[in-house]
Amino acid sequence: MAYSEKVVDHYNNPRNVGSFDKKDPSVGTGIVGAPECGDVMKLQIKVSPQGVIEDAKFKTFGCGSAIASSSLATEWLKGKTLDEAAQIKNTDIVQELALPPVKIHCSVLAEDAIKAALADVKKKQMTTVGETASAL
Amino acid sequence: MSDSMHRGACRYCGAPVESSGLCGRCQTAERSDFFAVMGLPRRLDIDLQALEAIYHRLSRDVHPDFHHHKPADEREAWLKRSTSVNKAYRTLRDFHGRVAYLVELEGGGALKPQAPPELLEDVIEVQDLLEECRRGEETERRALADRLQHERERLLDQLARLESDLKRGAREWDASLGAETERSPSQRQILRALQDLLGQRVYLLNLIRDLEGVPSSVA
Repeated sequence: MAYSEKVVDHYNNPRNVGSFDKKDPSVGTGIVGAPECGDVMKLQIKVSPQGVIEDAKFKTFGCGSAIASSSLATEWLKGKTLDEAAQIKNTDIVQELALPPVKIHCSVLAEDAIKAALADVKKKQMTTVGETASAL
Repeated sequence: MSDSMHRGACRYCGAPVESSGLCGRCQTAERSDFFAVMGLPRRLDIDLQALEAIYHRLSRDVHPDFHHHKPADEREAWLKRSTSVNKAYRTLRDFHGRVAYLVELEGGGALKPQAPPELLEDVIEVQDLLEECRRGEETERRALADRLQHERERLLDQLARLESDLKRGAREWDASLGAETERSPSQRQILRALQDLLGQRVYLLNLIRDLEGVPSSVA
């Protein structure tokens, strides 16, 4: 099976590989796995006090499509609000990367990772707000 | 989780499965009951010699060569049956393939296995170490290789425990089978546990395989 040019490009030059400090309250971390193939994806977002994603990083251990899907996801996430980020669908990734049917689960994994990272940072914000409130 | 992973979705691409049993999009997933094809109950403990004997008998019965004089639509049906027999045998003869198939058959793709977050974090951590080891200077690499060897032994232990949990789960499933076809909550629980273990096994196998190439410091 041949990968599309875009997949190969993201695979050879992955964007935004790396990590943020997981404990940073402005960082949301999503770690998800695909039990079918054993691919593991970590996606992190750094959110400004205004609720805009300033930066995004990922680490993916898996096939080319999984790496390309998460690389593309981090590109798309930057500059988006949390609500906008929640709108990213796996089908958008499939379309952009021209993923074949057997690789669609890679895009699902990226969507799951985004959702997990968003949920994580929202949870942190709630606790921070809670702590500030109880401190007052 | 995406809406496309509902019951009746193709296990390869998530598209709805058509009434023919084939995925409407990728045409790969065939949904026939392999246990029924082989005339077996849905037990995980299978006598492999008996399975092989059944396979040989069925293969003769359904072989397209014996049906070539029949009308085209019947020939087509025999060909499909022959394919099912082959797939059923290949799937059921392997223990892990059998467990995976049972879980899929009973769960109808409705269950999505959840790996414990610690395991996924473990994968990321060990893979990070591995990358560091590949990139590092000679002395650093040797120290990391030692650590990775320990990690590999730890993961092999974890895998051995997981395999024995799988075997125990399989025995529990077989013991739970009665005459009724309706599944009890405790049976669903056994299936979920088996599915989770199978998923965790894939992560462990991948990670252990990736650690295989680490040069030992002794060399």
